[in-house]
Amino acid sequence: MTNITEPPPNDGEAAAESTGARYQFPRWANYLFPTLLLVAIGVFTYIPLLGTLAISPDTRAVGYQPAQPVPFSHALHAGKLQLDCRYCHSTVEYAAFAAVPPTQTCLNCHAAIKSDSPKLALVKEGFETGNPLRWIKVHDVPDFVYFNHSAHVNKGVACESCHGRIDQMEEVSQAKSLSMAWCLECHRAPEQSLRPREFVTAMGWDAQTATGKSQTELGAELAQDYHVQPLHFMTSCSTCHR
Amino acid sequence: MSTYQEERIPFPSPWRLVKELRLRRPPWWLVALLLLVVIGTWIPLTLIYQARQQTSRLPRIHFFHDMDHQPKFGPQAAHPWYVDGRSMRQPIEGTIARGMLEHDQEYLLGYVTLDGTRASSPTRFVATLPERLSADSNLLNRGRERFGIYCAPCHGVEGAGNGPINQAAMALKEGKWVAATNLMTQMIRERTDGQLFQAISDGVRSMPSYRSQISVRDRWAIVAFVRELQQTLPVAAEPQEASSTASASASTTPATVP
Repeated sequence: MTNITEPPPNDGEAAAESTGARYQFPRWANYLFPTLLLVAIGVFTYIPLLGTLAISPDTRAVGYQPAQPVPFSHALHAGKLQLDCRYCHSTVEYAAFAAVPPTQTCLNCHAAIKSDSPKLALVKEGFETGNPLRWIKVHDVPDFVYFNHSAHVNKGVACESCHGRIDQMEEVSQAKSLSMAWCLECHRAPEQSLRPREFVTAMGWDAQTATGKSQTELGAELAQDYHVQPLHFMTSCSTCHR
Repeated sequence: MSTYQEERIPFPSPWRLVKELRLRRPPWWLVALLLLVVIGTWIPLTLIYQARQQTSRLPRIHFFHDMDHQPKFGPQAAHPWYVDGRSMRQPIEGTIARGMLEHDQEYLLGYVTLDGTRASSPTRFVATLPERLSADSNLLNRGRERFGIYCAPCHGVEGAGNGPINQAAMALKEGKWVAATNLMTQMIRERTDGQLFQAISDGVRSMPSYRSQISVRDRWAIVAFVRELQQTLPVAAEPQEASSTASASASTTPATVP
């Protein structure tokens, strides 16, 4: 009987059979080699897959929702009451940083509305003492990344492109990964995310329903109108790292 | 014993392997073990899927911190040295940054005072837009946009005093809330531009001051836009019927001045 020499257990079995030695490899030993082969293939595909998924910023960073000092609901204020983002984050159009509003802005309305609510106690205390509220920053890019809100908002990149549907968030959580690969996705193809400036704060805006043009078509036009920088600038290291 | 190499037989196909190894059915425990392992691999995958679907209070996991921290204090960051905890310091009271001194009182305040400071009471309100602004489409569009952001929440997009915040406050029957003024009434139409500007800057009744939120130029743009609205929309009835409180309408008549 011809047999294969490669798998040692099988070879041993064959040898044992032919010589009639006392020890015989059990029948299942035949399955060891193919099983190991299967397991090896599995391990070599599974471990990289698992690693990639586990360390992906979509797993590590998205969904971060720190507990804030005041239970402020964006779903109520920006969603139901339709306040424009810029009512509170008023510096977003001319500064790099979209300022968290001072307590004065809260009290614009809350001096009269729900003024005795215990949820507002910290806000009122902050306003009276002058001590700022310590909000926890949800969307935080590394310090060596220079991100400018005004540059994006004035070129027609919407709030929701990076922050998600804030108008549906009771508590704000991180919606996008804010990883470098994610930034570059848009920097390489800005026309996929541009919209007319007057709609940057609109939520759930869609190019097709709003303008009748496809996003790519509209985006390409807007990129030209707003003088969006060419690809070599948008993907240059020093555009974001300085 | 001859090998495949010696016999010049090509490497066996899987089918031939199975045949020559006489593989019939693997033992049940081997199959069970394999199945267990396969199902076991789903556990980490399920955990990852769960982590992706849920929100988490735990801080984000970041592997390489070398790009994360610059020795600096960012905007609105906390500072351990100062009593109020702010890294951003307020300008010293009464000081003006270099190059920021404005003399044009009519433009800045919307009214003129005897000694030229905000502290004394106005002698005359500016009747029309300051000369340095022209009421062109640029200014009006800017005004429309700013009105939509800062005024429409209470005054409504058409200035009728029916914005969502005002409606919510009325629905809550807030005692301290004074209904938003209908800007289309004859009373408001008769106000000068300077009075409107001053109202935005300093606030009226329960309306707060918007000096810090809206820049001077934008406040004038809003005034220009409100004038435009008043020209295109019909005159609204006086607020006795529009607002629920009689005291609110009474207190609007004298020009409220700080």
